[in-house]
Amino acid sequence: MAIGASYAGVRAMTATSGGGFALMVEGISLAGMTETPLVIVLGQRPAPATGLPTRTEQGDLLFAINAGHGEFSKLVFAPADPRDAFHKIIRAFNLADKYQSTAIILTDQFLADSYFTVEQFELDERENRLYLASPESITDYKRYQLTETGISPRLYPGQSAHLVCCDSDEHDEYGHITEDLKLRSRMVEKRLKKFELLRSEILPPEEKEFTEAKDVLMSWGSSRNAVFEAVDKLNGKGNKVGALHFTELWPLPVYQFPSEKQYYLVESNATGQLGRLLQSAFGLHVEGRITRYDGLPLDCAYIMEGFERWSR
Amino acid sequence: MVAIEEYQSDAENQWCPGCPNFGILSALKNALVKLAKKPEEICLVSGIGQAAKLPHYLRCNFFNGLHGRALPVATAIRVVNPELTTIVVTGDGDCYGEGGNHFMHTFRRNPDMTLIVHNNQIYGLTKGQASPTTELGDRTRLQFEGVKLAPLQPLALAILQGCPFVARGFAGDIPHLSDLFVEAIRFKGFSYVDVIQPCISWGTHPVSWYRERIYKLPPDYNPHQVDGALKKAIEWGDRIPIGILYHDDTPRHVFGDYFRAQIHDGTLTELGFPPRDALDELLEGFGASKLKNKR
Ligand SMILES: Cc1ncc(C[n+]2csc(CCOP(=O)(O)OP(=O)(O)O)c2C)c(N)n1
Ligand code: SF4
Ligand SMILES: [Mg+2]
Repeated sequence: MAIGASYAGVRAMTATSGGGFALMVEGISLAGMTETPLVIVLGQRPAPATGLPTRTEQGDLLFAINAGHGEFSKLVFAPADPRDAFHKIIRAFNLADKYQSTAIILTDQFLADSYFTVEQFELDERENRLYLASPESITDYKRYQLTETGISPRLYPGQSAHLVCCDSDEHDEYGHITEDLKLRSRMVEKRLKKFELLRSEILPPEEKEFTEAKDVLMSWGSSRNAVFEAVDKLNGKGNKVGALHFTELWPLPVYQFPSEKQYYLVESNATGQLGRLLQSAFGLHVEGRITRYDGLPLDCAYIMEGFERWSR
Repeated sequence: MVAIEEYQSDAENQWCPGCPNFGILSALKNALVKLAKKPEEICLVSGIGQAAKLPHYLRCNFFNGLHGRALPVATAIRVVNPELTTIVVTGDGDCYGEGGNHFMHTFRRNPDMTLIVHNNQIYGLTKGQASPTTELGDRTRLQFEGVKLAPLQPLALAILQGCPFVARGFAGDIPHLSDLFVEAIRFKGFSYVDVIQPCISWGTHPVSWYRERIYKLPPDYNPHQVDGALKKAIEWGDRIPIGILYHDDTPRHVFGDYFRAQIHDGTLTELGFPPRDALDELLEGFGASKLKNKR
C-alpha cells in the first residue's frame, strides 16, 4: 500500500519488525524497479524467526542493506537516539524522493521502546519537497527517461495529461515491458548510477575523541550514547580511546580510516555486521569485537568490560 | 466525450492471436468511452500474468506491479486520489492464488474501485499449470493425471465476505461485458467482475464448451439476496450464469473515506507540506516546550 500511495503522489512510510519486513522484501525490490520513493522503519529484535520478540538486537544491518532480489540502490540509516531519529527520518524522506529510492531506517527494540527526556526538537530542515518534475515543461513524458544522473522526471497520475506508467518488469523509458536486451543493460546502469551521486550526500561517521585516540570503538545506531559514555569513562582511567559512530550506513560514506589506530567493533549482534561491511568496503582490519546478543541493550559497563578484556 | 482511439496504445501486444483477452480489452474500452473517462483520469493496476499485461494495451496511467499484489497498491492509489478511476486487472492465478490474502481482505476494506479477473482457469503465461479455478480432474501440462484439488469458489467467497458488487461476464460476449464493466465502475464501493476467458493455448475446455453452457441471468433475477446469489455463484457445469450476481446498495464504509474526512476532503496530493508554524505547533503538542518555558 505504501508503494501505491507513493506512486499516487504523496509521501509514504511503513513501519515493521523482522518477520514482517522479511515477508515484504519483494516490495522493496518492486520499489527499486519502479523507482518509487519509499521509507521503511525496521525495528530490529532478536531473530531468527520470532526470536525474542520483546527484546533488542542489531542483527538486520546486512539484511536491510541487501534486502530485495536484484541489484538497485537504496539507503539505510540507523539513528542514534530520538533526536537523531527525528532529523534522520526527514532526511530519509527527502533523499528517498530525490533519488526515487527506498530508505530504510533501522531502529531496534531498545530505541523504539525506551523513554527519553529531550529538549524540544528544532525543525532546521530547510528543504522539504517531493522533487517532482513540472508537467508544463514536458512534451513527451517518459517516466524512466535515461538521464545523466540516472534520475528520471517524476510525475504522479492525474497530475496532468501526462500518463505515468510504471512496471515491475524491465521496461522502456515510457514504462512499457521490454525484452530489448541492450535497453535492459542501460536500465540496470541507470538504476545503479543514482547510487553514485547519492553516496556523495551520505554523512561520515561521528567522531569522538578521535584524533588523540590509539584505540577506536566503532558502533552504529542506538548504541551511541552508551559507547560515548564508555569512551569518557575509559579515558578517565588513563586509556586513549575514541569512537566512530555510524548512523548513515548505506551507501557507505566516503571516509579515510587513519591506519595507525586500532579498531574495535561494538555491536549488538553475534557476527559483527558493521565490521564485515567495513572490511569488505575499506579493507579495514578489526582488532577486536565487543558483541552482545542476549537480547539486552549495550550499556556502558558492558562495553568497558569488553574493551578491557581485549586490551589486557 | 472520449473517442475509443484515445485508448490506443503503441505497446506491442504479446497475447496469442485470437485470445479472448482481446474481447475483455474491447469491452473495457467500450465501458470507459461510455463513462467518458479520459486516459489521464484512469489508473489501471495489475500483477503478473497474461491478463496483468492488459494495462500496456490501453493508453492510460498504470502500475504493473508484483505477482498477486495489485490490490493493495490500487487501494492506496484510490485513497490518495479519489478522482482517479482505479481498476485492477488480474488473472485467476494472480488474484486467487498468490494474491488470495489480498483478495479476501479487500472485500472487508471495500475501497471504491473495480476488480476485473480474467479467469481462464489456468496459469497461461507460465504455459499451462493448474490454477485455483482449474476443475477437479482436468488434465494440464503439469497435472498429467488430472487436478486433485477442488477448485476455489471465488464468487461465493466474495459474496460471503460481503463484497457489495459481484458479477460474472464472458469474454465472448463483448456488449454484455461492456455493460457489466460500466455498472461495476459506476458502483460506489468495491466491485468485482470475474470474466470467463477461455485460454485457447493451454485451457482445459474449448471456447465452444463455454458457449454451450453460458446463459444470461433473467431480468426477474433478484441480485439483492445473498442466498440466491450464492446459488448462482456456484452454478457450474451444465449451465453457467453471467450477469450481476450480487448487488448490495446499503450504505457502508468505503476504505479511506474516514481517513480523508479527518485531514482533507479531496485528493491528498493537493495538501502539500504543512507551513512551518503548523509543524512547530505540532511539535509543541508533544509537551516538550511547556517544560522548557517553565525553566
Ligand atoms: C512471486 C511470483 N511467483 C511466481 C511467478 C511466476 N508466474 C508468472 S505469471 C504466473 C501465473 C499467472 O496466472 P494467471 O494470473 O492466471 O494469468 P494468465 O497468464 O493465465 O492470464 C506465475 C505463477 C511470478 N512472476 N512471481
Ligand atoms: S496463453 Fe491463453 S490466455 Fe494467454 S494470451 Fe495465450 S490464449 Fe490468451
Ligand atoms: Mg489465468
